[in-house]
Amino acid sequence: MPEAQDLLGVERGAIVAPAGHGKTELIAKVAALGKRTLVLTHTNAGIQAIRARLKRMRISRSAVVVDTIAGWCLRYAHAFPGIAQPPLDMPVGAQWDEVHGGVKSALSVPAIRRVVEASYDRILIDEYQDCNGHQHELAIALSAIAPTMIFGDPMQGIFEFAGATLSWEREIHATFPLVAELEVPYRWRDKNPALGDWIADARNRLIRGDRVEFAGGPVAYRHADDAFDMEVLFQSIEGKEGTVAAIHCNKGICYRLAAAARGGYQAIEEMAAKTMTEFAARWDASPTQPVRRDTLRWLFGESFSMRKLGEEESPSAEETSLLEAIKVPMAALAVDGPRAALEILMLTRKLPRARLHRQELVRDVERAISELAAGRCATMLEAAKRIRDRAGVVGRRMPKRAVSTPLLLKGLEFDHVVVPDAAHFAYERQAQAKLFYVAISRPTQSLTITGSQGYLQLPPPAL
Amino acid sequence: MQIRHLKAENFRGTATLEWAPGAAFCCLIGPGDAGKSTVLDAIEAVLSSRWFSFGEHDFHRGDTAKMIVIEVTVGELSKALQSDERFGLYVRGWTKAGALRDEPEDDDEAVLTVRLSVDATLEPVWQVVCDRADEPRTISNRDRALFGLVRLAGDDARHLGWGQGSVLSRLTGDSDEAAVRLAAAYKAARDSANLGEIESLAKTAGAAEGFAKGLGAYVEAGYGPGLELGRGSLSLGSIALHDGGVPLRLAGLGTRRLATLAIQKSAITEGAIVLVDEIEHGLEPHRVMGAISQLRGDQARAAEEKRPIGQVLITTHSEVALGEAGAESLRVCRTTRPARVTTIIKPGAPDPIRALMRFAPRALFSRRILVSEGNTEVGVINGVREFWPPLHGGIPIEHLGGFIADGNGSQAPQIALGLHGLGYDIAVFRDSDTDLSAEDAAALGAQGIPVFEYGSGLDVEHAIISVASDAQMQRLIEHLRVERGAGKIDDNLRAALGMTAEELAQQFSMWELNSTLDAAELRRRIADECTSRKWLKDQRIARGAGPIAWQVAAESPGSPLAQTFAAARAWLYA
Repeated sequence: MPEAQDLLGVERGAIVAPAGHGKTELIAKVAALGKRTLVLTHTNAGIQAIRARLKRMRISRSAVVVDTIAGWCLRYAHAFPGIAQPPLDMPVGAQWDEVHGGVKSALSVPAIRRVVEASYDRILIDEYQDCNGHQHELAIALSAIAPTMIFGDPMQGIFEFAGATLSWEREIHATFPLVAELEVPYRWRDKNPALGDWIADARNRLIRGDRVEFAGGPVAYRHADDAFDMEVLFQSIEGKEGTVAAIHCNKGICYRLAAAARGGYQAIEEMAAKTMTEFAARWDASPTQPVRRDTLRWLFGESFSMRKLGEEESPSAEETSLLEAIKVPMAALAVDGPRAALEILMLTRKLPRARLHRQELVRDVERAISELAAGRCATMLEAAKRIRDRAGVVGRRMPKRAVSTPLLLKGLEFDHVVVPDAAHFAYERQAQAKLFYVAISRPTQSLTITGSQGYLQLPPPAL
Repeated sequence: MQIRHLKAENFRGTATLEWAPGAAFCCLIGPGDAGKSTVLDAIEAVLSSRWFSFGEHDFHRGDTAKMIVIEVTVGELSKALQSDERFGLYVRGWTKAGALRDEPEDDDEAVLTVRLSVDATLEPVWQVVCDRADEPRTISNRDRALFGLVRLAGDDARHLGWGQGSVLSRLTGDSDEAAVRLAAAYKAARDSANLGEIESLAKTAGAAEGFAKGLGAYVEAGYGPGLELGRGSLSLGSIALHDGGVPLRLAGLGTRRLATLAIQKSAITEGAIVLVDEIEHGLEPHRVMGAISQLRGDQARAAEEKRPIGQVLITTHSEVALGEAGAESLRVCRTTRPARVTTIIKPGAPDPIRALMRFAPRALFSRRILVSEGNTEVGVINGVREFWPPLHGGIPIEHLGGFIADGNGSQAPQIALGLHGLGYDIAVFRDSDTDLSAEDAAALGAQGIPVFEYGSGLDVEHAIISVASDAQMQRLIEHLRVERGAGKIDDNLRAALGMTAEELAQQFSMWELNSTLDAAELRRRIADECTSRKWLKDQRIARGAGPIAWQVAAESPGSPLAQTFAAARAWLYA
C-alpha cells in the first residue's frame, strides 16, 4: 500500500484499486495532506463515502472540497458562461458533454486557470473507470494546473454502454502513468480473508479470460437450472445475520425475482426512477376515472404480487371488506385524485394476499402523490421529479434484502451475496467479465453462486 | 494589489469621478478643494477593512436621495482573493488596452470590482460586482482586509502600541509570555513602591484614617498610600513602542507618521495598496524625498524579485515630493464648478512636463502660468513683476496663483500645450526674433493660449533699447559693464560703433554728438551687439535689467515693450 506521503510528489499519476483494497482511505489521507484539495467523483453516494471518511479523520471541510465532476463543472460553467456556454436549465443526457467541454475551454483562459490554481493545490479524481472521453479531456486540462491523481479500477468499468470506454493502457496511462496498484484486500481482513483472496484470484482469471471455478472453496455453489430457483435464494441465507443482495444483470428479471420472492427480497429503484416517472406521465395524461384506475392497477402489477387462492379457498372476510372500502376512493379518482389514490394505496397494502416487492417504488409514488395533494406541485411529473432529485441528494436506504443489477449495486458492500444463474453474464452485450467481478466483489462474509455448471469462463475484458 | 479603475458618484464634494491610475506610483496634485483627498477617501471607504458609518455630510450636497456609489476595480490579485473559496468565480477581465470585461478572455488580467453603496437609510453595503452572477455577492470586513489597503492617517497612535486590534499585536502572534510577565511586573511594582515611607503621604493617609473613623467607618488595618496603575492591571494594551525609553507616540509628527506607515505596511504580505494624504506633512524635505524614494525602491525590488508590486497613491502640495516622485507619476486632480465633475489628468506626453519638473516644479502648484521662452524673458519679466504689486493693491502675482515658468527655449510651446492639457491657465511670453512655427502657432491658437510678444521681429534687446531714453541707456550700459566686465563691453562697443575709448567713457547722451550715427542707429547697433554677444542672455543679468526695462516701458507706454508688459500683467492679474 503506497503511503499517502509518497504520493505528494507525483504531478500526474494513477492508482489502480480493486474493490475493497483501501481506495477511499488512501484518497482521504492524500487529501488531508494538502492545503486545499479538490476531490472529484461521479455520484452523490461517492461524495458521501469520502466525506464520511474525512469526517472520521477530523479533516475540516474547507481543507478538502468534494464534488461530482458534473457538479463542479456546472458551477464553473455558470460562473463563466460566456466561454463555457452552459445550457439554460439543468443539463440532461448529452448536454453534460457540452458542460464538460465548456469548462475545458474556460480553462484555456489564463485568468480562469489562475482561479483554479489559487483554489486547489491538488486534485484527486475517483472512480476514473466511469469517465467518458470528455471528462478525461477535462482531467488532462486540470492536470496542467495542479498535481492530479486519479483512482479507479479498470475491472469495474461497467458503464461501457454509456460511453465510458477509455482504454487504461492506451489512453488513461498516457497522461496518468500507473503509480501503484493496491494489493491488500482490507475489506475482508476481519471478516472472511479466504473470500477476499478468492475474489482477488478470480479477478486475475477474469482479466486473462480464464475459467473461474466456484466449487470447492470459500464460495458456496448450488446447482440450479435457472434464475428462479427460490429455494436456493432463501436456503443460502438461512440463519445468516446481516444484509443480503441478490445480483442479476437483467432489471426485468430482478423485478420478477422480487415478485417471486413475495417481498422477501426488495427490488431497488435506479436514480432515473423510470417506473415512477412512467406512472406520473400516465396519471397526468388523462384525468378521467377509468384511465386513472388503470394507471393505479398498472402500478400494482409492477410492485405487488397476489398469492393465488388455494383450491377450496375463498377470499377472507378481511379481504372482502377491504375491497369494498377501496371502491369509494376508486370512484373519486377523477374528482379528488391524489387523496383518493393515497387511500387506495394504503388499503391495498393491507390486503392479506398481497406482498410488496418494490417497496421503494411505492414509497416514492406515495411521496409524489402527497406533494400533489398538498398543492406543492402542479403536475404529477413535477412531483415525481422533485422526489427523484431529493433521493439523488439524500441517497437511498438499502433494504435488508435487496435484488438488483451490478450497475445499481456497485460501490456498495453487503454481508452476503447470492448470484443466481452465473451463466447469464456470458449473454450480456458488453463488459461481461467486469459485471461479474462487480457482482462477486460485493459480499464481505459469504458468496453463493448458482448455475448449471460449477465454473464460468468469460471473454477477457477491454481494459 | 493595484487599483485599475475607480468610479464614484455623489460622494462628498464630487458629483462624479472616474479614474484609471495606470501606474504603480501616482502623485496627485491639484489646487485646494480639487478633490484629491476625496479620491483617497473614496478608495478607503470601499477597500478598507474598517467599518464606516455614513452621515448626510457624506452625500454630495447633503442630498441623501442620490445614492453614494463607489466602485473600485483591483488587479494584481493575491492568491487568496482568486481562490474559488472566496471570489475566484467573480473575477472579471482587464484587457491589455485597459478596458474592463465582465468575463475574462484571452490574455486579460483577472480583476475584481468592489462596490460600496449607501442609500438614504445610511446603511453601507459592500459587494463584489459581477454582471453574470445571479445574486450580488456581499463582501465582509474580513474579506476586504485581503485587499491589503493601508491608509496613513493623521495622529493615529493606535499602531504604535500593542492595543487590541493593532498591527503589532497581530504580528506578535502568541503573547502568553508577555501576559505573564506583565502580571508579574504589576505585582512587583506595587510591592516595591514603598510609598508608606514618604512622610507627607503617610501623614495625610493617617489623617484621612482619623476622619474616617470619626465618622464611624470601619478601618481594617490602617490607611496608607499604595500604587494603583490606571486600569487596575497591566494588559497588552499597556505595552507601547518606545524609542530609547521614550514612548514613540510622543515623537515628532513626521517620525510618528513614517513609523505608523511602515508598521501598517509590514503587516501586508502581498503587494499593499498604500494611500498617503499629504505625504510631506511633518517631514523635512530630505525625509520626504527619502520616504518616497524608499517606497519606490520597495516597488522596484518587488518587480525584480517577481513579487507583487502593489500600489502607492499619494497626494501632495510639495514640489520636493513631486520632484522625487517623477513625471511619470504626476496626476493633476480638478473638480469643475458648479457641476462638480472630478477628473484626474495624466500628462499626455511626459517629456515636456519632465523638463518643467526639473526646472520649475513649483509651477505645477500654481493656477496660472506664464511660460516664458528663454532665460532673458524669464529674467526680465521676473524683474519687471516686482513693480506690479503697488499697481494692484500690494498683491503680488503669487498670491493669485500666478507663476512665471522657464519654457526652456524652443520647448516653450510644448510645455505650454502640455500644461494647458493638465488644466492650467496658460499664456506664452516670448520675443519675436524668430516666429513660432506654423504648427505651434496653430496649436496654441486652437487651445486659446494667448501669446504675448513684442512683434515686428523684435527681440528683447531691441525692444528695450530702441525706445530707451538716454538716461536709461546709460543705466543699461553701466549694468552690462558691471555684469560682463567694462573692458569687454567697451571693446565690443568701440568696434561696433566706431568710437574711441574716451568717447565711450562719456555719458550716453553725449555719444550722438561724438558719433556719425544718429540716435536710432546708435541704439540699433548697440542692440545688435547686445543680441549677438548674448550680454543679456542670463537670467540673473536679465533680471537685473528689469528695473531699467520697466522704466523704459513707463516712459514709452505706446511701445511694443510697454504694451507687451501691460498685456502680460493684465493676464496675470485677471
